[in-house]
Amino acid sequence: MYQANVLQAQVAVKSAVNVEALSDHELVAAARDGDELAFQEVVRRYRTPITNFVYRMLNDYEMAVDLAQETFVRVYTSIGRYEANFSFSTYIYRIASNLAISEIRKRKRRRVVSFFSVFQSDDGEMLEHDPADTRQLAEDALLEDERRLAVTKAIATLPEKYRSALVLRDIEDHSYEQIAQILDLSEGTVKSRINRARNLLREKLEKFMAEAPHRD
Amino acid sequence: MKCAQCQLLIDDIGDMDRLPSDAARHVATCPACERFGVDLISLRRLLREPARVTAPDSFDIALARRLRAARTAPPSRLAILWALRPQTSLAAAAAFLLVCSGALIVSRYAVSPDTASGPELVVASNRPVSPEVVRPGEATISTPVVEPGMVAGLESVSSTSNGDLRANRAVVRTRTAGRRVDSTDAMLLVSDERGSRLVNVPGVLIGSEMIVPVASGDGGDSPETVSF
Repeated sequence: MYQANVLQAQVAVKSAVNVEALSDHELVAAARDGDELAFQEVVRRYRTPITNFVYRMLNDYEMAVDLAQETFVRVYTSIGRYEANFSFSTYIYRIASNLAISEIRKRKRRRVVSFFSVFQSDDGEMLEHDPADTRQLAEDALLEDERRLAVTKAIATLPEKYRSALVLRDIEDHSYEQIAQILDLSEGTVKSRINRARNLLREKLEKFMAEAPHRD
Repeated sequence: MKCAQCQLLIDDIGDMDRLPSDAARHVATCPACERFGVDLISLRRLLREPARVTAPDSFDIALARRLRAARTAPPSRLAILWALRPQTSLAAAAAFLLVCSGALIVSRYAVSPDTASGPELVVASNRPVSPEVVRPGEATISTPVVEPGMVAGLESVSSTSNGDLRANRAVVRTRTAGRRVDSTDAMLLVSDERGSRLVNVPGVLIGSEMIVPVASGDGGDSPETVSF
């Protein structure tokens, strides 16, 4: 009995190691054949990048988590229809991007005045809100908070078509080609949208540009 | 090297110190490209400054719950349709659109015996009825409307006044769906300082030009105090 359990555990570990070595396409193929471990590995690889991407689009963590999960549900339910014409990363980001854009549009339509409206941008989207801290904050921490809030607000006020392209390029570091595939646009259109978004942000963040911290 | 090429490299590499030698030489002699690089890198640093968020620990458990629900949920009709062959799906979609268009046309223009001899809507008010309340030529009367599905169209509005009271008589085409309307009934839209409301007044002689409200329910307990 003990030996059987050990053997089972060894098989499980081996299988887990194996899925880690598989490419995205191989994982999706295995998941399509009913391999749950393969799908778990897909989730493990993409849950944080997708959550982060949606968060930067919406600036609402709860909703970002919700939409990231919805993204995986959609991947799972349509896994039989997935065709490996382009990378899986492009495919999953496209789903997440569509969900985020759809949520932005919903919010614009709603525009309800709520308790949280004081923390919303002009577009009706949530802005980061840090509750008041009674401790004495250092001046640089205050400046950093101010800068972060300004960046968050500046991104939130970008039109959605510029925002998705800019977030994918300048925050998520995707190539222009990938972004064109994710957003189903030509590379030229993507470049022009990113350029326009950068110009808008430069105007809004001019004050903070010179003092951006170096991380290198 | 041309500026466009150089700027593309800066955009790709994202670090002025790691540019290939020919691009670095170009930047050293081109203030526009240097400015582009400095601006872009500074903007990116700023944008990436807020910390990246991570998925919560409960992510997988919540996702597993949602996946279970998705697995047990019956497939939507649309999903079934799209699971069929494309030709069948397209044919079904075309047929669906055709039926919808037909239904829309019938509901808009067809006049049933009931609607042909339908009642009139009498709008009574002690103020002129504002255009946004009753607007001739529209398919429906805008708010306030009770049972919006009942009114199929507004044909005409006429107005008579008696002192500070005004009676607006509107002829509408109605649908009988949703509510039975007798030809001897009149609907009154009463507007006064208490707001606007639609009341049903039985026994009014429809078509009479003598329709003049003598009271508009002002101070009355209910809209039914309106009389002629």
